[in-house]
Amino acid sequence: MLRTKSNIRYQAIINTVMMLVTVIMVAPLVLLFISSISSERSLLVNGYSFLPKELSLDAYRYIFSNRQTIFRAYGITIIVTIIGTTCNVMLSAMMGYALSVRKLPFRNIINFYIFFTMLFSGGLVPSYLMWANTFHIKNTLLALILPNFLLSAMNVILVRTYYTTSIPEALYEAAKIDGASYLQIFTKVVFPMGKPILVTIGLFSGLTYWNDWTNGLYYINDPKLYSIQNLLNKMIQDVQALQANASAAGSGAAMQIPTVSVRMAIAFVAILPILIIYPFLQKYFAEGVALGAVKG
Amino acid sequence: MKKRWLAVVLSAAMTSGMLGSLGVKAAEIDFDEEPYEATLMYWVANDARDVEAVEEEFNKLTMEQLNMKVDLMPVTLGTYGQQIQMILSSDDKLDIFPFWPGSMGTYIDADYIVDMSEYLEDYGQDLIDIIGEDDIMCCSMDGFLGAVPSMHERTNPVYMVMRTDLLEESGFKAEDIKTIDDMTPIYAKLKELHPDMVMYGCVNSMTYPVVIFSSLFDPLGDNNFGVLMDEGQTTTVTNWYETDEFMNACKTMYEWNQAGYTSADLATSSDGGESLMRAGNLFSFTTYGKPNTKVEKDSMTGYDTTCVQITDDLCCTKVTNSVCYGISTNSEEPEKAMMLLNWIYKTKEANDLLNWGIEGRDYVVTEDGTIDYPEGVTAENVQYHQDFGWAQMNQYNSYIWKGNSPDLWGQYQEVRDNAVVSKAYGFFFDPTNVIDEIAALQTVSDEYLMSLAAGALDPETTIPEFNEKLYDTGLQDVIDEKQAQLDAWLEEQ
Amino acid sequence: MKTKKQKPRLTWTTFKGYIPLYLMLLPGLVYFFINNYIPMAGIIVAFKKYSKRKGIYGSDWCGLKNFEFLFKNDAALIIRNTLLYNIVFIILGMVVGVALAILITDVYSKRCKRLYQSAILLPFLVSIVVVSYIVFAFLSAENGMVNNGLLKALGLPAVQWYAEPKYWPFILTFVNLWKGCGYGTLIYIAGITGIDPAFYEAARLDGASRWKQITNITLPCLVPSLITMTMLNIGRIFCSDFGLFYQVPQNSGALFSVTQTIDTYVYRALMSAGGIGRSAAAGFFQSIVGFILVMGANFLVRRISRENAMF
Repeated sequence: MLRTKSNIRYQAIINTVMMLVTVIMVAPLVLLFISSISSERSLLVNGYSFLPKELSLDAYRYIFSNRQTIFRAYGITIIVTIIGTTCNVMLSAMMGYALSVRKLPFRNIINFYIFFTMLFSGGLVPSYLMWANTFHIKNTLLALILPNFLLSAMNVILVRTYYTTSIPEALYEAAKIDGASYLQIFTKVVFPMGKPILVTIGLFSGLTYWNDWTNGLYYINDPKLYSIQNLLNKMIQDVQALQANASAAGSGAAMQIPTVSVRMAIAFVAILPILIIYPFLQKYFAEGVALGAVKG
Repeated sequence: MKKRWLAVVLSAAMTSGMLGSLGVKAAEIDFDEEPYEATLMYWVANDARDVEAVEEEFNKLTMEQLNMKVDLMPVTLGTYGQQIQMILSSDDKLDIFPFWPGSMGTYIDADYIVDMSEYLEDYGQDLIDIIGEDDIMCCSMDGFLGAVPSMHERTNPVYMVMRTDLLEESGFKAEDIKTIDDMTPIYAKLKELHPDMVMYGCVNSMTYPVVIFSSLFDPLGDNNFGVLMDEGQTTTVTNWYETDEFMNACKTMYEWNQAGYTSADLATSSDGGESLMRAGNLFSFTTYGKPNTKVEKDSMTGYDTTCVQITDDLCCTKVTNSVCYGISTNSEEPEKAMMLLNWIYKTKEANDLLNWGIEGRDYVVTEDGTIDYPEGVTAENVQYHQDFGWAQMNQYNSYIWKGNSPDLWGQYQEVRDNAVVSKAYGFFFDPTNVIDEIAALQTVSDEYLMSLAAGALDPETTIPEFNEKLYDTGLQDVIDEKQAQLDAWLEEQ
Repeated sequence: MKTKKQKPRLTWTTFKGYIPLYLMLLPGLVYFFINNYIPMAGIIVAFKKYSKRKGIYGSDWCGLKNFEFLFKNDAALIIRNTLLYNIVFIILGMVVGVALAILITDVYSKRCKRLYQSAILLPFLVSIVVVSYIVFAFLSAENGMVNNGLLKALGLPAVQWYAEPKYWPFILTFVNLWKGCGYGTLIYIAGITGIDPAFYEAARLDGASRWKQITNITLPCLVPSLITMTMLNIGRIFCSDFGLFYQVPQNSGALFSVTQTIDTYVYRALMSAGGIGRSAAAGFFQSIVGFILVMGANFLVRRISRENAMF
């Protein structure tokens, strides 16, 4: 882009707007972090604030009182996220590619078949019955990977839309004339060219796996296989249940948890690794974007 | 295999028929057959570091005395609700499990639970002795015995828990407090002295107008749509939300709210009075009380508290069956499950293991017979420690934690013996016929109840509106249905 | 653009050429079949009086009885809320998403670009329960930032946020946008980077302003993505993010008139009534409405431009 006067002004305006957006996006999370290191007392007496009266790491001390469990859970989540996301991206790319070939017979029926899965669902119970009683995945790593998230219609459709619109049909024709097979076109042309969308859905899929606690809740009883979200979600739920039943519960020790700041700390512990690896992901992400930009 | 099992059942039936209350005897257990594998789900307060060792110890006992292998499945309340539906509708192994009585109608309807009355006589004689026939009947809906109640307290009177130091500072005494309204002058005085402090706060579901249900009236089932007023001494079902008592309770709260005694967030609060007090900014909160309330609250809040009972002790079905253990239809041999349940209630070691873990490692017995952590063990590093007796099977038959009176269970029994008993004690309303109405009523009550009870809305104008909406949504149908079932039940008695 | 292609007759030889493509589709189709279609048969439990002993398929039929509870209380208000919120979310999500995507791709500095991209995606990382805590930290009447910090500093009286329905349509819309706009933005960014730069080059040579370039090149090129996203959202127009409408308003009864949606109603109603028949009925009701609307929308799109139809 040329460095003209209007361009510089334009850049100044959009950067200001985006800076403002960035602040709006980030500020609540900063508050989240600060609340997590505030003392329970200052939260309940002085209120939430970006400048707390009193700092305390009690919440983190509580969460990390079981260090081993936490790190194991992080490990489980990382494995699951990597395997799950890789499968998701590969499957979505293959399906999206096949469906972007306009002449493919029965294409519409297959499109409908895929889209339909987004509209209707049999509900939790039938799904549980199948995975638990037919496929016996309970208490295995597969339980965290297979149900629900291995492939989503949304991702297939996004990839398909991207391929149909961004990759000119003429390219297929040209490749065909060169004698390339569909598979070769996919691996040599479409896959590399479609990187932006694959990075995007990979990110979505990765976050879905990272943030998921439902599969663990339903299919995992063995604490050794808890994912990090499972563990943290359980902490939150249990603290809440104890609060609500405090009048009946004798458990004095359980009630000494700093509940308000723990909630915040748990949330922060859950996203912390993503915050750490995100800059590295960003590199690939930006690369993908750049690739998309130069391809024309 | 099958035949032999049948023989055991028959002989059990015969002996129990002949010998009556002697119940199941170890002699009737066939130790030659494959041990039965049972799965026992029970409620716990936390995920213990080591359940396996407890399970091992537990199995030593069951193998020896029952020829059973038991898979322990402790669940915390936080995850229980989301898991149970799926486990029940699948073929997962499950024999004994706890549930809330509000679900019983649905569970019976969906064939999730076994009718225990078929087995109680033959395999559960000790249960009858321990729990008492009257109390067991609180889990019986229309002749279907869906569960047996756990041995938790049988009354839920409301206690006001206050910080002793502040109470003294106000110049008032515990004896001055008889009802909720006696708190108002104390709050007024203290608010002057400590304008920044919150006088009254708790989880929104524990405010006074919400928690008095179990001491003012018999709610006849899981919700308060149609109740017996006068501590259950009448037999006419009426609408609680139209009574003067409800109006007055809400007015008191409204007055407190207006005067700034309550936290402005009370209507949506999810923080317990215990946590709020521990954080140092709260003077008092309401709770369900029992003889050892003060001991528990002192430890939870970190302050010396004064706990005053402000309502009567009332025995009603809802309190007794509030925690109960039933047998899942997933159980391969329900009679074995029944034997196991019976055995746990009567076996002290079993209850100790489930609640306190392993003696020597997780607790030691002190001189007065109560128990405490061993040297070097604390709440942070203990391998297994629940302190969750109210939600487990028979806490009366287990150790008492240090700090409580060694005669705690005697005190519980005394309260029970002196309590007012509702005329409908043992009647358990079956909601199946009006379940859609109740579902819709529940959403109406969600809309108003917490705000009214927290004093956030003016009761003079809002309560009539609330009632109008309740009647529009079918409250009368539910009241009529309750009355009809109650009349039929009373006739039978 | 509308080229009426003559449909070639499907013969074995032409079909054979497509076999590699079918093989690529196969694993995904099988997964959908297992993960989605087999359990979908469970929908029939919506029309049954479920009994464990008889199983989902063997239970007795009960007609539409399981649907009755949906219409017992304020059905009109609940449906209105669900629909209006979704319509607003769809439109705003689209406008804001596209706007942010255009702004971000236009940013010259690579470092800033990265920063903005990460920032808009951050809220996406946080679960809705946590969002509810953050919102509470701002809006709590007693301890909240807004009452304690902002309003006090401005000399304004404190507001009981969780008791005042009038603010919540805006709060919920804002929260939804805050949390969700990163998702759409990312898709649109991918879409924009996929546009052939030659188009812009040509436009610049013609002296077209930036605004002109956006309206004449960027937006038309994004139409397929926009249609896809809108269709996907329309299919879920009777559904709502449970956490957003239940946890974020702290389940406050005073706000029901503006926070009660189909999902929260079903949750509250089934808390006491329970039963998998009823929850299946509610899900089926939401799906069938979404299905009809999507079919209608797809039909319209097909009439206008066959290319862009979903199927």
